[in-house]
Amino acid sequence: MNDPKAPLSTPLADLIDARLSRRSALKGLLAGASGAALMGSGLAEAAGASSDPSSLQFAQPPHKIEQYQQVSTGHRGQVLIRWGDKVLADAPAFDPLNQSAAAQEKQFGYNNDFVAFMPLPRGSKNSGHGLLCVNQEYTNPELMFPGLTKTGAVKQMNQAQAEIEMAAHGHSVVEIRKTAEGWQVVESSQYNRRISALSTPMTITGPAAGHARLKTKADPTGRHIIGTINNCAGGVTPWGTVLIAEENFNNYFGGDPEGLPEAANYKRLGIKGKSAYSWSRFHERFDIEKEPNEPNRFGWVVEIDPYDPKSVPVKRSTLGRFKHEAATCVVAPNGQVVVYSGDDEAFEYIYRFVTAGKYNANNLAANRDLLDTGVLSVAKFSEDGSLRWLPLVFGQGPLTPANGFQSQADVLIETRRAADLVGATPMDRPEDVEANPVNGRVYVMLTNNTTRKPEQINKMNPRASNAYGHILELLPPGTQGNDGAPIAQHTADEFRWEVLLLAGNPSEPKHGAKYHPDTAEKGNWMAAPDNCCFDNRGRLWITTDQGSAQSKSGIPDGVYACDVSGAGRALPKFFYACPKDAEMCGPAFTPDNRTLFVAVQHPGEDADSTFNAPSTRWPDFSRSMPPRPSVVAITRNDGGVIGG
Amino acid sequence: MSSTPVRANNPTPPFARRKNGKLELWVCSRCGHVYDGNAGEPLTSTPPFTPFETLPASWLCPHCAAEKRYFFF
Repeated sequence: MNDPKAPLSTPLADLIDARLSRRSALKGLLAGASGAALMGSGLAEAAGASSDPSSLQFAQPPHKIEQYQQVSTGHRGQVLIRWGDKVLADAPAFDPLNQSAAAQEKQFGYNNDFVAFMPLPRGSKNSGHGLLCVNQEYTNPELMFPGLTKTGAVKQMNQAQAEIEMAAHGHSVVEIRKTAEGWQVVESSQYNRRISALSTPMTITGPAAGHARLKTKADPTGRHIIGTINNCAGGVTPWGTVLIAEENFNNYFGGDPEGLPEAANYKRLGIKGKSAYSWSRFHERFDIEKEPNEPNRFGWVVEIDPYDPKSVPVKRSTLGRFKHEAATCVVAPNGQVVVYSGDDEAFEYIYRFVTAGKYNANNLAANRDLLDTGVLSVAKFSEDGSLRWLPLVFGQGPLTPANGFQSQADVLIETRRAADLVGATPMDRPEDVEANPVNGRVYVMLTNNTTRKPEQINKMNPRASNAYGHILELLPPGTQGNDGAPIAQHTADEFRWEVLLLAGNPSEPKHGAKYHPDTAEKGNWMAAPDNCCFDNRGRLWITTDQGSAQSKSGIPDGVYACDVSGAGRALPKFFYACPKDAEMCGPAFTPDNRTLFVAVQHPGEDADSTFNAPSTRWPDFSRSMPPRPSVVAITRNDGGVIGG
Repeated sequence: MSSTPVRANNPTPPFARRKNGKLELWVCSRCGHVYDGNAGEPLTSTPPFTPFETLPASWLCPHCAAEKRYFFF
């Protein structure tokens, strides 16, 4: 298994499931060390029989990069659906040497990121039957098609391949059911749906809808958009819809912005005149010299009703236009709905949207357009531990015609510039931002920022050249201290904040990592926290994305879990390892916490890895199949609650 | 960045250039970040008119930390 190019003939995942973790074998030898909580409050929990202060007592898999996945001993990692698998009943069987856009539009797309489990029936807590809603963020043409290279693909590709890529983007809705053998896809389901960048009609609502800056030759109304691209993470609304978030949409647009009215807007978002995709060669709308407003139609949060396969997805412009990592919802005590979102780039910001109206739990349909009215704010941190949400409202402060804003639509189309002007705090790549349903605090994954200079550090972003990332806790009023049930005031203007952990290897002083002091002995270190979710006890489950730095750190991306209160606070336990060169996305529990869905994205994405010679062939390990991004359903062998 | 990239105020071949004579734009094949040597890269303290080819081998993509070998034009 040491030669990454060696052909593989046998699936290994099941063998690995049975592997005994070195750490679990050592566990008995480490008794006696006491654990003190790190950088936070919390009374020591009763340690029980174990001296390990963590409430998470699963075995940790080897912290080592392999071509295959590695799951905590005692758990099963079932590959549930792979790129190319049937979504619609009439989809053809996947043949990597005979692909077409028409087939791909009926098959599971590429690079699965966000995963939501939406129970059936709607509104229930059913944990054995539901809809798996999955973002298909982007494509790796060099791994999808023979004969391409990673750095040459944009020029090497033909139109048919580009359109297969477009069809492989978007979102998939798949009905799934738990059986005695594991989870199964319901192939003939009325709910199953593919949403693509190639052909799915969408509308846009809110202040930017119909604005002149969104009008194109194909859509003189500025209200009807084809497709969605680069949907990274997302969120689930209390009324049972799914929010998917357009992130690095800038990558898809070719043509030179120089001289265009939108040049400054586009450059601020990274559209500089060269595209990472070939699409603009074949589809005029991705060439800004020919269709100069098309990029203004992307970078939004899109709402999808997975329970109605005929529903038209809606881009909600009120939530702003930037590189949305996610859009996570929580209902405030007063009934207003709050949506948190990070802007995934070095030195970008953290946003919060608060609806004007209130959530109606008794009439789900009444919430249909709740996201169309409300206030978007951006976070300004202070080193004294406070945080203010600064509203981005036309006419307030600097957001006036004097600065080029003529309306709220302008503020939303150029959200980043508006946030610059009000004085938001630049952060180390804000990715997932999620509210903990148990303690009410909001957790921010700050993935990394290797470009922060020593003179730019502050208490919120305390490391220069931050290669490993960190996690912040935002504390709405009502969530300080760990006593009693918090009533988190998510709509308040001012929060407090704390550092939960600084990632990196605690045994390497130069990393500057900070965790629970027992991490090296009883837990495991992580790098590049990206997405997260919570179990029913409010513990934090973190997934990581180191990118190409994986080869330098020597550790795989995967799933880590830690307590956020008590004696085990900030002591990460390693739970699942991705196969080589993959990032881990989409952690989503079923309501009973007996299944954890995770998304293995871009397995084999290395500079030299190709369709013919990939660095892994996970999950098929067949010579006729390239690696395939796939969603994995993790369950305990005894059927118990994951994490206990 | 520990080392300072070579500054080339008047870049000449073999540096890749665009049709308009300006330095070529290089794209990260991992994350799509575009390096514009004409404008330089404040995030990595790279001054204007720095050809991609002259960046030190230790230079990393400011967005995803990919190495130079991931870039193309």
